[in-house]
Amino acid sequence: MLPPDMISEILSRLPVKTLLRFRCVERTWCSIIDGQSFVQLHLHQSMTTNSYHSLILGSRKGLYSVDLDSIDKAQLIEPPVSSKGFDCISNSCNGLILVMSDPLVPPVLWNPFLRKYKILPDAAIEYPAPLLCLSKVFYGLGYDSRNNDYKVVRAVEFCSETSRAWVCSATEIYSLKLNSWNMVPVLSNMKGNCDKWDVHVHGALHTLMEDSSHVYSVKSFIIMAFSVENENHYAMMLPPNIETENVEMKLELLRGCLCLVCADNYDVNNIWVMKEYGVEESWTQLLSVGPPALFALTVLGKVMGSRQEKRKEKKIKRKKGFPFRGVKFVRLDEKKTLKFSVTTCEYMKSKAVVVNGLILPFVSEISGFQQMVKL
Amino acid sequence: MSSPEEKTLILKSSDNEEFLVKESVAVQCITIKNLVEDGCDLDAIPLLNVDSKNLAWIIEFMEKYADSTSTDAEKKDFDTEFVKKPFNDVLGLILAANYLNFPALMDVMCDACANEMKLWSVEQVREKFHIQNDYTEEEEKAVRAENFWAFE
Repeated sequence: MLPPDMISEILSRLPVKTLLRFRCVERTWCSIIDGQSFVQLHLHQSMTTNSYHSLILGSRKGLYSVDLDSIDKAQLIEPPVSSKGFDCISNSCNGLILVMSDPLVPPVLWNPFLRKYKILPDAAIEYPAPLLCLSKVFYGLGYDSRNNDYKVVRAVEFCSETSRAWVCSATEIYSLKLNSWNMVPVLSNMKGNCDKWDVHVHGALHTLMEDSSHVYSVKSFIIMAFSVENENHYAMMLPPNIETENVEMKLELLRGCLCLVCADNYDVNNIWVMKEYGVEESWTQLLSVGPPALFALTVLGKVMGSRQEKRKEKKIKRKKGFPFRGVKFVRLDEKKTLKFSVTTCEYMKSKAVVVNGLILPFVSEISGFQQMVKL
Repeated sequence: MSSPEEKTLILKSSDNEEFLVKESVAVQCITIKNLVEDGCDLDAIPLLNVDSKNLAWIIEFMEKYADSTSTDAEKKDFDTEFVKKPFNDVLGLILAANYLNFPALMDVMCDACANEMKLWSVEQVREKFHIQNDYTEEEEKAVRAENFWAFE
C-alpha cells in the first residue's frame, strides 16, 4: 500500500517503545525499523521537534525514566548488567550513556530506551606502575558525525608523588564501529580537578575548569573542550564579567546549545546560553530567577505547543534534598521570569526491583532523546 | 482582485476535474514549482496521481498556508480540524503530498497519522494499513520476545 519511504516518514515520529512493538506488524516494517538509516532519521526527527526527550534519574531506590512530554510519571527501569553495581554515569550523548563501576573494569555502554547495553572491551591503557599514587580515570561519551560513530574517551591521570601535580598518563578512544580502543597521542589536561566531562555538543566533550593561567587572585573558570572528531583540545570563555566567586556553576545542554547554570550566594539562579557555538560574544543571559535557589538544576528546554509556536518554556528540575522522595519540575517562562509553576513527579507504584550491588550514593541524572541506535 | 501579473494555474486531477489556483499558492508543491520554472506551457497541469477529492483538500491547505494574514495559532487550529478525516483519507493525503512534494502538508499529515497510531495494537495497525502479516506464528513470537517489555 504505502511505499517504504512513506512508512519510514510516519514511523520516525513514533516513540521507541511503540516502534519496538511495531516490528511485529510485518517483515518490511521490521527491516525498516531495524535499518541504520532509520536510526538517524528517527533521532533527527526527535531533535528537530524536541520530542521524546526523557530524563533518567538515579537514586538509591533505582533508576527511573521520566518522559518530558508527561512529567508527572516516572517509570522504573532496570540498569544494564544488573549483577554489577555501578556508581557513576557519564554524560549523555544522543540518549546513550556510559555506566562505570570500577576504574579497572571496562564500562558499559547503555541505551536505556532500547534497554540494550554493550560491555566495552578491555582498555589498552595500563596503569602506571605505582598503584600507590592517587589516580583518576575520566570518561566521556561523544559522537563523531563525520564517521557516524559513537566514541568513548578515557583518560587516566595520576598524581605524581614527587611533584604532587596531576599528570596525564594516557588518553585513549573507543570506537563503537570498530569495537576497539586506540591510544591517542593527545594528552588530556583534566588536571584531576573535575570528575568527568559534562556535556557533549558539536562533536566535543566539555567541562568547567579553573583557569590556572590566570595570574590574579580571583579564581576564574574556563570551558575545556575535547573534540572526539579531531582529537584535540581547545578552550572557550565563560560569559564575560560574571560573578564566579562563591557561585555554583554547571554546564548543561539546552536545545543544542551550551548552557551555563549558576546559583549564587543570594539564591539567585542565572542561566546563560551560548547561542552560537564557539562565539563568545553570543553568550546571552536567558533567565535570572529566584530565590529560592534551584539547587542541582538540570535544564531541559522544551517548546510548548506545535513547532510553529515561538513561545518557549524552560523546564528546570529541582531536587529535594535527601531522603529522596520525588522530583519537582519547575517551569520557567522566558518572558515572565519570576513566575514558575511546579509539577511534582510521582514515582509509579510498581513493584520494587531489587538490584544486587546497586550503589548510587548520589542522585544522578541524564537527559536524552530516546533513540534506536543498537549497541 | 488579483493583480495583472498574478498568474493563475489550472490543475487537473486524475479524474479530469480542473481547479484554478494562483501560481504563488501552487508553488508550495515543489513538483508544480519545478514544472513552472522549467517553462511548462500546458493549458492545464495534469496531476495523474491525485484525484479531485484529494486535490480539493490540498488546495484548501495550500491556500491557508499561503495566506500571510493567518497567524501560527490560526494555522494550528486549522491543522487540528483538517486532519480529522477517516484514516484511509489521511493515508491518501500523505501519498498525494509525497507525489506533489509538499513538505508542510506531509509534516502535518504524518504527525496526525503517528499520533493516531501510537496506542494501537499490532493487529489494529495491520487492519488500518491493510497489511497482510507475513510472519509465521513462531517467527512472530520470536520477534515479540526480543522486546517483550515493550508490550507491557
